[in-house]
Amino acid sequence: MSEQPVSGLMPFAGLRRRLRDNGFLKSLRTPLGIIGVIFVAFWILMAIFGPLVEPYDPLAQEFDRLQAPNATNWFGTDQVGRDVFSRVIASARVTIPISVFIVVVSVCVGSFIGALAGYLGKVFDEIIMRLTDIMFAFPSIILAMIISATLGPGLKNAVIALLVVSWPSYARIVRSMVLTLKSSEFVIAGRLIGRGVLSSLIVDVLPNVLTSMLVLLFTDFGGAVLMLSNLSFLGLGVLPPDPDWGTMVQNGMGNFSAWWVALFPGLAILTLVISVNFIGDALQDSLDLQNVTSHA
Amino acid sequence: MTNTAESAEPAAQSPEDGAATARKAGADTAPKRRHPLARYIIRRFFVCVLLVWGVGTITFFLTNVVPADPAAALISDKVAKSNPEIVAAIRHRMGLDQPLRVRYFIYFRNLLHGDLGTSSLTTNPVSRDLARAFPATLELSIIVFVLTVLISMFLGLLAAIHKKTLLDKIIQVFSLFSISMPGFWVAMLAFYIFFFRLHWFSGGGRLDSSLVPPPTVTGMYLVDSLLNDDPVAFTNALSHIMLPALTLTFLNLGSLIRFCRQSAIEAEQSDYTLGARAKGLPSRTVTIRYVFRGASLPILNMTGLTFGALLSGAVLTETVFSWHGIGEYAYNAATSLDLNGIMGSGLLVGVIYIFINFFVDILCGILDPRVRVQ
Amino acid sequence: MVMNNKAMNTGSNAGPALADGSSSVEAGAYGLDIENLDMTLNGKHLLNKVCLHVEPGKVTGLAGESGSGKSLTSLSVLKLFPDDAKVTGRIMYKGRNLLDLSEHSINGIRGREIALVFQDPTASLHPMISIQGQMTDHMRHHLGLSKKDAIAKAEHLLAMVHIPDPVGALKKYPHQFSGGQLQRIAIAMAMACDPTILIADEPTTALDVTVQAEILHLLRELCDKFGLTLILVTHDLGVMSALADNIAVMKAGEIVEYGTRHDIITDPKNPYTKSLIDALPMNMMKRGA
Repeated sequence: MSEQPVSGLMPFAGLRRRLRDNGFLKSLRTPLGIIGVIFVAFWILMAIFGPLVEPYDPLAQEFDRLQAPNATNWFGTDQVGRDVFSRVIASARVTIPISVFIVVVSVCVGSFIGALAGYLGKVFDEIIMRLTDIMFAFPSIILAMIISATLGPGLKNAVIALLVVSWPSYARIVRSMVLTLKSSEFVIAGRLIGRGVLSSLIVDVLPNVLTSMLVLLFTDFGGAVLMLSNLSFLGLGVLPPDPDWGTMVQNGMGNFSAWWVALFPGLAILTLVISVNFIGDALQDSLDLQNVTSHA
Repeated sequence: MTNTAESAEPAAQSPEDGAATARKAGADTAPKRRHPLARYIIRRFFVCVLLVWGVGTITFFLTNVVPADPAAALISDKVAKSNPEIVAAIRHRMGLDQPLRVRYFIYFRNLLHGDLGTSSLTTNPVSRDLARAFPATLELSIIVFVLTVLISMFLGLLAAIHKKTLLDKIIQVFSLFSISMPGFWVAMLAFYIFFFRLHWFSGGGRLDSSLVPPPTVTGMYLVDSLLNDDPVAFTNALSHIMLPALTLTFLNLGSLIRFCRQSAIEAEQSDYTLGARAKGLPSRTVTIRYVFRGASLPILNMTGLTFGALLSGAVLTETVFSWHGIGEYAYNAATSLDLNGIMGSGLLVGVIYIFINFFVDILCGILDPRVRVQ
Repeated sequence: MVMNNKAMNTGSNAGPALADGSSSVEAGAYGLDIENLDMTLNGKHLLNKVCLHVEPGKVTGLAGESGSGKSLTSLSVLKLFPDDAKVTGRIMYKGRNLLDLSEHSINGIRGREIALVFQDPTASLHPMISIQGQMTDHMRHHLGLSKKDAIAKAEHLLAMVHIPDPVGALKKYPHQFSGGQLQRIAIAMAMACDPTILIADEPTTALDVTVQAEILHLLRELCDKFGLTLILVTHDLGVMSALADNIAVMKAGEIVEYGTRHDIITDPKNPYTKSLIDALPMNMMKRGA
């Protein structure tokens, strides 16, 4: 309609305004949001400065076996006499960067394919969507298991497996976003003033998709942490003796009287993943709020 | 003010677009003679067959193309290097010396005959192993599925009705815990607390080792023991299934609760709900008749998709509880690099998932007048 | 843009013909007085001291661009604003302030005495409930009719809004009708409990140009027949000049001008109103000629 303001032609301005006006940071000032930020900050610090914090070498078998938590070994020791606390901290160094990597790469690949499918439509779209259908037919863990089993166990192959498993959902989401936006006026205006497919994707469509994607990134980071530790638990991810939360829980499985071996790495996963989800939820709420306001 | 106007305009457009495309999808390929529902089912069935073919192709690709040498993958590197003639023999036996096209054809012919190859771990045909493991997973899945759907619909809709209250917040946090917990860890925690410490339920396995499994009819111990009129086996099997079932239910609840809540809230904020409220209907009538009905289709659709997550979780839960189902089989196969075993389980699970969603689609078609009547 | 011009053209062409049938004030007609209606939502001041006198038995037009608060004002009459909106002021109807009513009491007014017609009938009707279900549920609730009587009345109503084959139509679902037909059904649904006031929120905006005039005809017909008080909310001054007796112009949550149709169209005082009137295609053509 004629009321469409000119500012619609400058979507980047819209994005910046959204982030500022609706206060993405302000939205984190809920109790859960604060808990989330604190724990995430804690784990990020641990991932960066871990070696300074760890009291002992995470690989050194220098203590008595299966000591219960005590003053020397805060989280106790495992079957071969390694300090559980040091190993829990050291795992963050592997898990967090790898999970970030998985999310970022699969978002980039998935979004690119999805956006292209949505924008080009027709045969390409059909092929990509059927392919994602097929990928979804495999439960994600089983598909990841198949892939890392074919490639051989190990962190590198686990990462490849998780990338293969996770790109289709991004492709789907971005595709549907692009389809909605494709018909919106400022994109058409952009095409009319002579922007090509790719540049209008990047300049017009991408910024509008970005806010929703940001929320998704947070939740999916948690998902990546869980999947990675799942694979490690199954013996297909990080291989012993390297410290990893999943393999540590696996270690503790045989011996229930030494509950601490499995409890603390599990708690580490839980605190990291749930705080990321708390943040994602808080951001989502502020996004919803923003939609409600603009509807009125 | 410009902000409001700017974002209101596209936002207001999108539901119309959605409605328009939905209408189009229904009307586009107008049938001449057949009942629209029948046409819909046939179309969905073809999609199903296509998906099964796709799943088979992917497993073929993963077994035959990705590994540098599938034959060498069967034996250890050392043996492979020192004894090339063994590798060659295996390659010949596996048909790997044939061109890829021929192998693809043979692969699918075997699949159609139910031949999934031989497991290098158990040395049995994979299909026989899977047939033995399947009832265990089925038994567990049915219980978990029913529990998950009922509880999550109840909690999700409850949260949606009491949106932004303390109750909603509590349900939300509960579902976040369910989503954020590593499945294997929850399984172990449940095992430790309820079996090891409290002795409320039985631990690993499907039955105490002192008991003889009931004669196989369905392969599901709960059903078979009832058919055999064996209350001891039944209560024991029930006590064994409780922990894995509750664990899996807990793990699957979170995402479905959130989805139910979200669907109900979307239905509640829709124009048709506003329309119903503007007619002066009591809020309970609006909620049950308009909101819940509006949310029913997406929720039904989602329950089908949940089945995939359920089978995924089954891998970890079954492993921890030594539940001899498909999940544990897949785990054993994967960790011992038994390619045929892992492929067979993946294929089976994929096909089950596809067909469950096929039935869910049919159900949706029956429920949705936009599909049912033309 | 082209679409929009056409829409305005049709509206203004149909204008004189439609408006000629003078609306007589019926004895039983009730009006509405909105006094100092103020609304804030999430820190945004959406309505600012809106005052509007809705004359009984007349068509009151509420004009303004989208986001000006005209839809919010009309929804406020039935207390259909978001829960967390802060609202002050009064909306007087039959000597009572509607904003003070409990949820239960306002439900007795919604659909029964004051009914709403929405912009897009494909969205405001439930896709999974049959026309019969949606036409009769509030009738049975408000009027206590039996199922049989409600169906009979629904058939009668559908015939009144010129739906062919009312009996068959009741069995159908919303997706089986065109937009114009659906809007007729929605109007019939709004008329089901013989309301005194009808609020039509952009009733023609989502429809094809050719259908718009028919719906306006229908509304005029109903007003004349039943002495309805109609509040017509639209951004389209063409539509407005075809139907409204009085016009209020809203901008940024405030009413900037109010007067009879004749005064507003021929002699707008407010510069904003003036710009809207000048933008009418017939006026633009006049200037060009």
